[in-house]
Amino acid sequence: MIIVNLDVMMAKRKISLNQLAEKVGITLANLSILKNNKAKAIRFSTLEAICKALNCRVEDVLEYREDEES
Amino acid sequence: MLKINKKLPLYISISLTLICFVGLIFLIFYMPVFADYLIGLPDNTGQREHLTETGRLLIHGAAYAILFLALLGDALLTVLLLKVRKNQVFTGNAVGLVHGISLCIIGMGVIFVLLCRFFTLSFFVGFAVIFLGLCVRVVKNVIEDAVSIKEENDFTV
Repeated sequence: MIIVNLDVMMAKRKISLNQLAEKVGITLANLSILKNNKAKAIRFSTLEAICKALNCRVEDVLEYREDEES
Repeated sequence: MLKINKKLPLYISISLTLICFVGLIFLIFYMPVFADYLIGLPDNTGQREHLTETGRLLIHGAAYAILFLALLGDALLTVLLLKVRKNQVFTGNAVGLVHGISLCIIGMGVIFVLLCRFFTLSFFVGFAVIFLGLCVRVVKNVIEDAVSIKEENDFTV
């Protein structure tokens, strides 16, 4: 499964959810969905904007973990 | 030009469903009379079938079972329409309601088919009702798929 490490990166960059939402240009609700790993998909444009706002790489935000069941 | 309210067809459906519900409640009291009338009808040979008391009771029981399923299905239909009014069609709850309605219809069809021992025509009625139930079941599958597509769309950031 894909894990979104947005909270880790936000803590590293000391940026709040509100500030990031404003910088990325998406709603707070959508950013919350992403942060809480509820998202089913992410657009390249959103990912690009997040990486730009947090000054990080894609792999800093997204991580692949093998399912515990398999 | 006459402007028709967008929700008018929905309100018509809700009204018809409620009228149907009242009709079914009314039928609870007149079902024995109606069933006895059907029992008294001559068959295709022009003769009346002589039923034992057990057979008569069986028909009455089946009629009430059909009525109960119709009432349940109608109630589920009303709840579904109220959900449509609140724009909550593509939810797991709505899928469950449509599934319930399809089971009610199929159940009624099965009872009709079983009644063919007494009324030949009820086999064909039952077959048609089961087919209708299957159609509703397909609609349920379609809505189920639509719910999953909508969920994926809603959770795309």
